[in-house]
Amino acid sequence: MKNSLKTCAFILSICALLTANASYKYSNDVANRSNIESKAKLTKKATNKNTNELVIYNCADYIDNELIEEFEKEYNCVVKYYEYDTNETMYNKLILQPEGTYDLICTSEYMLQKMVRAGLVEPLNVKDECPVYAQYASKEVSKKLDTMSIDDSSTLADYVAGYMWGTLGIIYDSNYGDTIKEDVKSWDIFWNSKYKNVISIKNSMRDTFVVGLMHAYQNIEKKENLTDDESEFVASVNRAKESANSEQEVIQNIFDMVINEEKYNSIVEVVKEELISLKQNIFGFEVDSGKNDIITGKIKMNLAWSGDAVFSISTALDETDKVLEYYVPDDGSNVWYDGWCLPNGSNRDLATKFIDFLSIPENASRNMEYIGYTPFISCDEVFDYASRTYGLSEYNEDTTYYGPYHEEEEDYDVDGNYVVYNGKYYQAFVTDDEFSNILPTDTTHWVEVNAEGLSLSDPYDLNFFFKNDESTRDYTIYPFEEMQNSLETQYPSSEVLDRCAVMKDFEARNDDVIIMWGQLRAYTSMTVYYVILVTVAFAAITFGVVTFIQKRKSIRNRSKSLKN
Amino acid sequence: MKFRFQRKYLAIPYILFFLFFIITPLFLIIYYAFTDKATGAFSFVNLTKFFADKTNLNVLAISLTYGLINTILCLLIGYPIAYLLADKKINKSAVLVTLFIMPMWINFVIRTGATRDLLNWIGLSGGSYPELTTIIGLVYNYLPFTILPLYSTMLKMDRNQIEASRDLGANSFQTFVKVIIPMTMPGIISAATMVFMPTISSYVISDILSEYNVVLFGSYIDLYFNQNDWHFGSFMAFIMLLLIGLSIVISRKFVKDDEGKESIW
Repeated sequence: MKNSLKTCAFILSICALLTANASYKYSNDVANRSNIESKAKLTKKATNKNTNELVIYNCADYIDNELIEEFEKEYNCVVKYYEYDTNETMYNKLILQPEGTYDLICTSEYMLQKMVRAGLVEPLNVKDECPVYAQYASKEVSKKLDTMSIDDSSTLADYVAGYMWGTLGIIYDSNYGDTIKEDVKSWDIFWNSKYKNVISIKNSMRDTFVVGLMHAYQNIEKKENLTDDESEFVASVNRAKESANSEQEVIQNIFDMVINEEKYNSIVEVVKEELISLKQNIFGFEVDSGKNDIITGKIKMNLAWSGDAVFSISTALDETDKVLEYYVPDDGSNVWYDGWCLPNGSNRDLATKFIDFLSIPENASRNMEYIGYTPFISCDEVFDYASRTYGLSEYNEDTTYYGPYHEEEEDYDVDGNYVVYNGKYYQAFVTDDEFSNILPTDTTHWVEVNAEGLSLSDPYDLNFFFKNDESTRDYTIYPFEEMQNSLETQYPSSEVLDRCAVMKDFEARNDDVIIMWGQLRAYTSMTVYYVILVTVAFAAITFGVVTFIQKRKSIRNRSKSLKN
Repeated sequence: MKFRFQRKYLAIPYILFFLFFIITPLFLIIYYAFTDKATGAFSFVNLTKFFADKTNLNVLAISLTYGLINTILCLLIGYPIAYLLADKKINKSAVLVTLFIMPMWINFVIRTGATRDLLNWIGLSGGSYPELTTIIGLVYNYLPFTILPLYSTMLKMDRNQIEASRDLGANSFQTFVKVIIPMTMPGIISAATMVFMPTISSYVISDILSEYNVVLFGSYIDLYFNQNDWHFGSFMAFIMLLLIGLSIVISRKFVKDDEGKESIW
């Protein structure tokens, strides 16, 4: 009896380990439910909240922490800053905490859509409440938020202030193989046996889904003898093409097929088959190791977000002599937006002030410098930061220019700013000096330089992003040759954006995509495993039977000898 | 009424611990396993979902295979080591034992990260040989857990019986099979249980070392938890619980009555 109790206790302790997470969830669940029941109590609680406190919930490594400290000083408040690792973790935590736990949350567009639809988020009129943000946010990307509908009358733009945006593409070692620069123009490269075992894919359901979907869209029609699912897929693609007016709409419609098509299971199935064949060719999936593995050369290619790619490219350049490049395949890809939202019961006043604080041009450019992603804010300061980092631009009288200086923290020398003025190139040369409103023709601050010595690439037009009604300057960057790819990564051109679509929330169909994802991840040849299991089972049974017979025999022998 | 301290009050912390961390989570896992995700009502929807998709059973089979292989390899490697370590004639100090147990002192996530680099360095990458690297990692991580129980059983082993069997004419092999193995059976069983069960539910080792190519049951449950499907994840955790319980019951059958009471399982 005592013994079985012990066994019992042991089994239970294992359960305890297994469900540590679940119990956490449940206790909060209960709290949540009781909150919903007593709504009056809840609102009281929300108003009783410390108005001097701002609780932010953001993705890990996604802000310059100094900005938070400055915000605390400026508004004399306390910021509690929490981080999460995936959007799903964030959602999980949010729905289990009582309302008003968080004041400001940053997450991806599809998750925002899901949260708004679930009624977890308060509307946000950025024009009235976040004037600084409204002034500087790029119209070009803001209008994308307007394409994500919540219901018939509202869109995501009524709830969200944008933060960062970017694309999904391939980061690759440009010296690996002769044809890699050509091959990378299509997602086919991931299926190409030439690159077997050098490719990593994100262990992220939605990003990997994009790759499978785009590859199927480009290749399935070429196939002969289509299966039922495949012909259904082709029919859906044809419908998507018919109702579209531009290439971008085609891709957007294809992205929406999972949500809109009745026989969406065929689409999921086709994507699964694509990804299963992809799985045979790749090195593996990665969560966070890909960024480093491509720098150390363990892998040569990785599915990456543009912001991470900027980081990898510059780190590789600094630490090794590896040249990494980033490309968004011509087949079509995903453009993503992360934004801030105010969950129910949030401290509106401080939360909106924080959004505005991050949108102040100087802060936006500092934040961009720190995390490497591309902000929604399209002010001159951000443009100046980009042009200074990647090359040079037309002289502008309001811009602050720097002479050469020594970067203390990173310990290297920085050249003075370059500008182009009336077709000639100039460099600021006064050490440790910053100035503005001095024409490049003024030889006290500027010196003319030879265009060939600068080795510039073709001018890169960013007017579509930065130009607004008031500005008169030309937002074109003349990038240094080695920086051209980084610039294109940070600010995709309008051609790239034309082949990228937003991936909306899969809604109720998400469950089927999760199952597909599980099947894909677990997919492997099962024969060996079943052979081993059957062999072991057979061996165990044989062993049992033999021991049993031997025992019987020895007992019989013993009783015989006793009789004798 | 005057408060009088009684000795049984000392049990209160344990009872609380038992209730909060053992009983409650167990009921939660069952609650989640048998409720519907959408409505929260009692249902067998997770059960049908589990058995409707062959993949789920495949993952279970894969995990069982890794569990078996890992257990067998750990015993094969660990048994001789434990035997030598426990032999006072060969091993005169405890330093060697400490050395073998030492990997346990380092957090296994950190250790696994280092193993990944080490294996890569000798040309075994998880991308090329995911199954092999996973098994190496599993054996490496669970070997101390095999050696320790075997070692402590062997220390208590009556060496006179071994001598006696030799005196009575048994050769080394017969001595080993008929005397040493039966004497160390409790150690073998507890070592096997300590390796087999955690292997099935482990996922960090297989994830990191196989570059996410090998999916064990623990990893598969985590995949669903990560996508916010607590109900289906809990159901799979429940299945695993049953399997573990079953493996304990079976392993107890192998231990003879008296010896069984000495070992905790």
